Amino acid sequence: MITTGSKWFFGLGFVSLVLAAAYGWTTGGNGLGPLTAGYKGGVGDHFGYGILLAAAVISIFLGAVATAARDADAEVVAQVAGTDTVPPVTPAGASYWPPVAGFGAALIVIGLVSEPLLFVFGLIVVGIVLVEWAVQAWADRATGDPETNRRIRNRLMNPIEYPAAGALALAVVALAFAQVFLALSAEVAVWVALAAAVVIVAAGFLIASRPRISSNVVVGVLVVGALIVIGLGVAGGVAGTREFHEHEEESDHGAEGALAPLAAPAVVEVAR
Amino acid sequence: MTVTEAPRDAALEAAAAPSPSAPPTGLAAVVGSGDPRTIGKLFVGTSLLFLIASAVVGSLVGIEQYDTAGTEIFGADTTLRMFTLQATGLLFLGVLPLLVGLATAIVPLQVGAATVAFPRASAAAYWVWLVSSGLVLASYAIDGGPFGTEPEAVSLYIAGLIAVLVALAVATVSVVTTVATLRAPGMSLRRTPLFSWSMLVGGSVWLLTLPVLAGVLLVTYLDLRYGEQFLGGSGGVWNRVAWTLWQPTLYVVAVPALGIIADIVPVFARRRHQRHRSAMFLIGLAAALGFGAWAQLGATIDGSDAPAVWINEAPWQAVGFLAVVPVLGLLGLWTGTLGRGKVKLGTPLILAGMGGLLVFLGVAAGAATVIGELDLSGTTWMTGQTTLVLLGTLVVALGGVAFWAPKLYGKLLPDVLSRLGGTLVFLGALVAGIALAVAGALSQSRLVTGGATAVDSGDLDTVETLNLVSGIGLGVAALGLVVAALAMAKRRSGDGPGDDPWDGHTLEWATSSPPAVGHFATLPAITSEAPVYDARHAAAASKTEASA
Repeated sequence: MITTGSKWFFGLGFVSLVLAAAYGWTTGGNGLGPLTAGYKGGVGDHFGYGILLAAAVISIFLGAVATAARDADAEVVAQVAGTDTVPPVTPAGASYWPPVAGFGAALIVIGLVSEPLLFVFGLIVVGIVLVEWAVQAWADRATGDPETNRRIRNRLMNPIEYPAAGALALAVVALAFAQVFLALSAEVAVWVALAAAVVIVAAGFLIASRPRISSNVVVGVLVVGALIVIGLGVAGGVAGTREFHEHEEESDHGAEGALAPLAAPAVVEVAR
Repeated sequence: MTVTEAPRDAALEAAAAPSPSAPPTGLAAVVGSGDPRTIGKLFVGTSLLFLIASAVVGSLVGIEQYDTAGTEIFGADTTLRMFTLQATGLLFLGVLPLLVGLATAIVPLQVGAATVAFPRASAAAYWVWLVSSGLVLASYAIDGGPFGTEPEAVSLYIAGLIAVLVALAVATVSVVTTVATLRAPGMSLRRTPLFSWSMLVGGSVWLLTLPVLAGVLLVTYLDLRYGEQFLGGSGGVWNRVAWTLWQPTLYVVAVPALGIIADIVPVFARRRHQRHRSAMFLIGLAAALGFGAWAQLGATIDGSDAPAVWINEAPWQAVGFLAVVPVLGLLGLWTGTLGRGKVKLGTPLILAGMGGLLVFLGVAAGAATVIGELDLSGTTWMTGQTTLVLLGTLVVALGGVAFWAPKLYGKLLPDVLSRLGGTLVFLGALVAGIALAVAGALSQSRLVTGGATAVDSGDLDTVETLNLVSGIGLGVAALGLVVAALAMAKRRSGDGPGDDPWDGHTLEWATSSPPAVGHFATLPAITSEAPVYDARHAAAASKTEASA
């Protein structure tokens, strides 16, 4: 029996085939070329003809699939599965990976046109999203209980996620601090480093001295601290590095300080 | 088919009783949501903002063209870029995602599914579309986009648009697969509601079209960045995109609008859709004729545009004329349905009617375009036709939002604001579309191919005035969109509208407003294309019988 879905796809395929033949003949095709995909004659404009022929082939294939699958009617699906019912579909729970995928796509696009490193980083982000997504999709179907599924997923992924996230966080914090220090003069950087160390130790001491402190407060303090460090790092990166180097080079080695340590004796000799 | 009968009750029970996890709350309810209704609402709301911006830019471009020698809002070069911005925004950041969003939220309800086929893919599609749309807009801000002078910014436009297309294709795959595979027991494709059917057929053709555009853009990107720019460099980029705004491709964008009207009309006529099967056939025919990826501009090795070999040839002419047939046929069916019913003049019906009229005018204009003797192709007649079809589709979509607002927002939209917004968009589109079409009949070329330079000096004043009128029309449409957005933001106060405020016919009206996670506690028996209508009439009949 030709099902409704297959009628649609076969119909689309037929329309595309007729258009392909007409297009071929009206754009310079000859003989039986447009009917034989160029085997017995020319097909005219290859671009439009190729697109129409491809659409026809795809549509006819999908029509055949729809026929074989009986339009995937629920009763037929149950019959094929050998069950009394169609498999239940569970709505997806919350997941932050889709927005992360959007972020990765943005990195890929921007990196593609500007900075290859960003492009690679975007690919890595999208790769991580795909892995996480696949595992989550598998775990969602592991049992009928969402809580058990969540535990299964966490047991599998947390040993990978926590070290990776920790390493990433350390790298970001180190990079941010480095940008801040590079933006400041050597003397100020020392004091800022000392102050930062004191603040971190004090915060750690305060948290450690209050064992009943809410985890939300700890998370909040960490998030605010991370945002401050990253914000300062971005500000430092935008504002300071180049001036810092020029300043140091001018004061230590003069205008030709780019040659750095090896050039120093010559500078001394000129000074005599 | 014995199995069709035997397991139906059990199958109904299984389909109606999924085991959802706890619904997310707070930020996760929006950013991390996999709920199709939330994703759909995000698509609808964001695309509306992009549409307002596009209409405002279009309005300014029209006003700029009022005095081609004097008026300076953007300057000549920037005007070209702004024209491409409003066209790109209207189609890829506006109308298409609006329809995708509406379908993502409504289609699973219509077919009795607990969710869409790939909810997280739909969510990812939204976020990718959002950030990519932002990048496309950002490319214009740094002198990119078609006709831009900053090579990297032009590249950013192309790469961003490719990402937009990928995202829209993924979201469409999710919707199409939902219709194809997640229908409730008893709902054969033959009994599928017409909006869902239009998404299946229209979405299939979108999926045959969007990858072609993405492929062409990829080649353009490679040519621009690493090649000899034989595709025309920055100026040639628009030629690779513009075909999506012309017939026949233009028509496939409007296919879901036909489905929306077909679902609204019988509800407000309070009778079944006349000849449901014929309507399915006509919507399918409109979608099949709307496959137009073959009708693109060619390119030559020296960077100049090759003549379009298909212009004024039989296939193009045939499609142009035949496209009128399904639209006319559907208009006939809807007139018959309304004529034989007891019409209730609700906001969705009014907006659907106005939008349908614009789409019909656009398709009729397309039939005139393919008459070679009229020499309309390549003129702003085509721009006017695009305006009519796209904004007509938009008005219908606004009608769809008003119709399904109880399922989307849990509230009805305020009638006055919804009608005012839709009417302003309708009037603005009508004025702008007709003004541009008449200017095209007076030989004004499309803006990217010279604009008013080809116009006889005697007609120049008239054409410039028509350009101003089109700009004002698009300004009115922008105002209408702002009012429509306000209507969506405000909604009606007080208690909810109830599960079925319109006395609907299809399955989405058998669940709560707004639907709970998993959508359906129980499903009615599905024995026709209007199961809720059947159930209501069966109940009324049994009540009458009992009282007798």
